[in-house]
Amino acid sequence: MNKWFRISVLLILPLAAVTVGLSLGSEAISPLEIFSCIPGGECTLRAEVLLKLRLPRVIIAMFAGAALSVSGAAFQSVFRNPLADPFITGVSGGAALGISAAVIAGMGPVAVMVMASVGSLAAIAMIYAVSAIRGITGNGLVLSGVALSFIFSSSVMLIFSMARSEDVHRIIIWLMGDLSYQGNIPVTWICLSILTAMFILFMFHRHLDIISMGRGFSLSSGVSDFELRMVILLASVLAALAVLLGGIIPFVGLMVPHLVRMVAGPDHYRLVPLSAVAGGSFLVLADAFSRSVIVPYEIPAGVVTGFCGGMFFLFYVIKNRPEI
Amino acid sequence: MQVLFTIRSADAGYGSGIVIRGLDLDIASGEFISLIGPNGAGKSTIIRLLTGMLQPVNGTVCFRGRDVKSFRTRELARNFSVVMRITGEVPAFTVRSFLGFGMFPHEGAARYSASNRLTVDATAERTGITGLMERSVNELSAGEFQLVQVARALVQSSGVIILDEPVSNLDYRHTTLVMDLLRELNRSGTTVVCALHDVNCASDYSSRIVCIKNGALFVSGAPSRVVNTAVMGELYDAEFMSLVNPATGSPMIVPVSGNM
Repeated sequence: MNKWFRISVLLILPLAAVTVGLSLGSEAISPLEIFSCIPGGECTLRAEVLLKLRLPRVIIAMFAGAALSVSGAAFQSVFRNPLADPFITGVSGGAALGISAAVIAGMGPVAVMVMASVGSLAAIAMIYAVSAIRGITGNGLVLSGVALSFIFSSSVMLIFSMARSEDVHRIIIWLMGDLSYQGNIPVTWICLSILTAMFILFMFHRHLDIISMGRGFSLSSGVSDFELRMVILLASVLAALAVLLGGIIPFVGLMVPHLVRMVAGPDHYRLVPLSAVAGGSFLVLADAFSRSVIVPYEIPAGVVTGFCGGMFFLFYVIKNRPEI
Repeated sequence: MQVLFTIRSADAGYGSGIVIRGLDLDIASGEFISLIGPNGAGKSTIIRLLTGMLQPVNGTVCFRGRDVKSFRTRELARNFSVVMRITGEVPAFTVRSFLGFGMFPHEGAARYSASNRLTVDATAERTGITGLMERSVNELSAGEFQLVQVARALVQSSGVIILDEPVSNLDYRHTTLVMDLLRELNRSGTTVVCALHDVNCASDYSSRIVCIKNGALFVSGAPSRVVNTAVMGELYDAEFMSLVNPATGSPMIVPVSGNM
């Protein structure tokens, strides 16, 4: 009963988060005003304008947060490592390099997105190749992910050292996690892809349960290398899609799956959907906070998730002393 | 008796190191086989060879006359089950969910159906772990968890169970519980292959003991032929006295201390 209560709270959370996300900002509107804009209601002009500005942003935050958390949940199970996060295989580094190269070359916003995709896909392809050649051992993949990340970040630093300062600033804003909608990305398609990838990953929930017991166990239980690679691929693609939506937003994919595991247990039948819901809600709230805390400035959402998430997580680790 | 596993002149190892050299081994249906030998002799490597987790560098490993590597992962899992030590932190699944994992190779990604639930419940009763069903696996003692592991293996495939050191870290009571359970399963038709450290335990329970030394078959035979001071002394490079277990009548050895 207690568990079901907690689970239903997690389902109400996204609705509450969306309402908060729509009402907070440099200018606040009340939830009542928001509800009056549901078709059939009498919407004030002010509310309509603010909603039009904020709704895409809330949607972006919801989907990016969901993708990051589900990806993190999957990676934590695959690598059996509480420190695993969506960017463990180097996807974010690949995207960062793609973006930096595109900005430096003076490409337009659309081309920057294309380059970000190319960078993340390159990282995914390399990890896949490593897993195919060297076999899928948790440590091997994690270590190659770390190595890839270093190669990518050094390349980004190289670009920084040669770039004009305004370009560097543009890149940094992007890398910090920026959820503002600039009309340069096909949001609908990315969100649909995220939904699809999450759904397919959910279909692997029993695989994930067994994979989380370790490779020897999962292999002798009948989970093939191909299936394990599929799971890694899906989780990497989710991370890459989240990067396209909102840049490199830290910590959501590390912290949220942990907390959901504490509430809902290790069963991926619940863990995957609940991570999606909780991660999306968390990012929507973090973004609302980042827009309204120092008006009229907007702190990048990544700064908020990193800061608040880090503080909260530190508290959790000290208090609970997890066996790491 | 039908031959289940055939290993022929197999060399195997990890990376560039070869652990097993020119191994020939047959395992027939209905046997209770214990692999014994010094640390690092290659017992676990043989277990990994049998289960298809490790491919031989040379030679072949066949299951029912067919090369193990020609099987699909799930097909192998339907034919035999493996109990290995799970390293690191074990996720907090309930014992019931954990036993349900045994159904995976039979039904894939589907959720537990009513008939699976029956299988799981019946297996729990047969293995005497019904009282543990709603507990979390990471709260169990090592002994309880090992019983649960054997039960999970039984849900997966009752034909053949392969175990890597199933009792090495258990107390006397749980060692007896696990080994008694394996013997009972063996009597009702399950082929049991396990790597063991305790020679006397192997002697009490096995139909055949396979001694491995330096990655090769040293000697293989019934406990009455193998468990004696001469063979064990040479296998372990140690001095032993031999006795007869007054309870079971099987031969046993005790190391003579101070003579290493």
